[in-house]
Amino acid sequence: MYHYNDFDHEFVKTRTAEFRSQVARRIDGALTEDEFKPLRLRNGLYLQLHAYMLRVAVPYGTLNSVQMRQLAYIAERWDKGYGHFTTRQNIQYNWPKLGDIPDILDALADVEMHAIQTSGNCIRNVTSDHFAGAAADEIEDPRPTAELLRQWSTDHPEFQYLPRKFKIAITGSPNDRAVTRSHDIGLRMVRNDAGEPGYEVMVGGGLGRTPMVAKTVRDFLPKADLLPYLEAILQVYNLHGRRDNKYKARIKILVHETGLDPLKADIEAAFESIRKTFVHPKAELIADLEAAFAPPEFNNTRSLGFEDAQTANPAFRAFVETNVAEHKNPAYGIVTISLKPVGGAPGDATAEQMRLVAELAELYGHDEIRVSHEQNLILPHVRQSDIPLVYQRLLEAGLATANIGMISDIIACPGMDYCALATARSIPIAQEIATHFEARGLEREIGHMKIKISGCINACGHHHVGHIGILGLERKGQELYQITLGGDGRENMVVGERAGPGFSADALMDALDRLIDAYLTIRDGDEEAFIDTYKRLGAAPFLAALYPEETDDARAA
Amino acid sequence: MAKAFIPKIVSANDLMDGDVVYLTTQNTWSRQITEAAIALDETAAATLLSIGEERQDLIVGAYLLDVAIGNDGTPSPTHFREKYRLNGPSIDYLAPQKRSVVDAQTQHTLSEGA
Repeated sequence: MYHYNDFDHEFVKTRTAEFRSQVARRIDGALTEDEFKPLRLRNGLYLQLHAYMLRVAVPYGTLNSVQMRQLAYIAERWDKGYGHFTTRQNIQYNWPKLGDIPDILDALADVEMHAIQTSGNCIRNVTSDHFAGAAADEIEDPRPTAELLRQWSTDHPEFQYLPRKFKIAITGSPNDRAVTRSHDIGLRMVRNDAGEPGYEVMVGGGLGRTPMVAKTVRDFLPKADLLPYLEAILQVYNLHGRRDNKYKARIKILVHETGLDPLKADIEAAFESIRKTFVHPKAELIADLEAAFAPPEFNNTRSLGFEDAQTANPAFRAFVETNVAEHKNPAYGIVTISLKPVGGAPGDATAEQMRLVAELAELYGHDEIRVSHEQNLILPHVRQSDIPLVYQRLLEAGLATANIGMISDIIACPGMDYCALATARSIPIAQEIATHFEARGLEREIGHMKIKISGCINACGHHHVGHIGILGLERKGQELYQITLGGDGRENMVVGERAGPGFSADALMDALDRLIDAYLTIRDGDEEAFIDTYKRLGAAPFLAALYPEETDDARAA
Repeated sequence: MAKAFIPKIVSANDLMDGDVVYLTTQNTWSRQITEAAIALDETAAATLLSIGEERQDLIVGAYLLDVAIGNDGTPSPTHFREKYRLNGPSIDYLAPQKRSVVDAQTQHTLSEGA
């Protein structure tokens, strides 16, 4: 993986020292909260319902064991012993104290990490495919490009005061696991007719109160043109993006209001102008980045241990079915560690669990760890013959939940249990759904299912792209949960359709039962996933199940 | 007819640790809602808020919130958001983690012995 050079080290240390002085001045009263707030937000520090929250960037979701151990140390020394992995592949600490933040940032800098640009109207952490570098379907590892984007966007003088926050996602695979079309800019690696890799560039995606699917502005952009082209998009947005209304300030609104073709023309014009004088990164830098993400030296000897263990142990076989994905090396597997124990808080991991994951990565995983936007952890390179051992260790730590892609593998934002913006709680709903369907013994029968829950309209829980999306709102002093159906975050992204009136927390589980029971009845065989049944039959049978006539009176007003 | 005034108190977050605090009758900040000063009309509410806003060195973001007054005279928030602020996360947020802490420690001991 990439290691900081002298410039990176110096930049992060200088910034941390600067923030230490700003915190000291806030504490001694020299800075008011109005003066301090924009400074703390630029360093990832929020104030939530009960405490501060520090959001730490995990660049494109990649960590090594040293970094994971440091995250564990921070959780234990300065927080309550755990951290929360987020839907943008970052980690959040829920309980840090203001006076400790500078020390935490120093501890992060020691392992080449920081919290810069995890908040504010700037280019945020670039997210990527959590299987990058390992996926069997990958054209190229997108992380050298993602790191280049990190370096380009960090402290970029022109893009520090954008109209609104700006999110970029990149994938190197045709099968999109990074929800690129829900980002301000999505980059999807494709090949041109000559077989050269480049990027499909998509602009103006987003979730939140106005969900939009990003539109393609370039079918194929040569890799060498990427930075000047992105600079052109950002320049157009910086100039023309709305600053009069926070809710209309994202680039998706600019795309929508300007129209795709006029905007494309603006971008291309800016690109033509920028490319003439653009100082491209040196070839050595690009070569260094490629080398930093070169595949590890795989051990290609296969053994029968993997198959034998599956035959001998049905629980392990079930784990492999859901949590092990195909690796580009046939002797290896990609192991997803579920942070969704039934009844647990999605995405939370204790310091001990983090240390175990670090140890397993070191012993069996070429020292690589990934964070997924679905709030799980991944060991991307595990020899198949080592997977039974890894499974055993995970099992002993309560980390072997075999539910990836299933109904209990729920994305949920922190919701009103932590978040100052939330209008309702998310985590208890996720816990109840997971517990309920486990009790009904239906999880395996239901099969592939993505439930995503947001505790407010900002949609951190990605409910718009959930097969079943749940949005928590407030209505007449009560929490109310609105259901959307048919959302899909893959390459042909679809925004889910709102089903109808919302449900109280008490009525929600019955509504989901009706929905799931209807699906099990009408699906075309056991293999047809909920989303495929929905695409085949449309909303009608699902709406009939959610809102049967006899329960009309019980509908939320 | 004018709407009946809903009693109010002033809340904020502590500057240093973010804890939820309430403005008291002594014009200090307390973590106990039972010590909160209660405004019973608009004028008292405005006064309370301005006192709260003057004490920004100790807190962040003073604001008024609606309360109901119990038989013993103590205020309790009427909105569910304020109830979660008062009582902390509604989830037993350390429970699943605590279980695995024990498991991990056991495992650690086993590995050391091996």
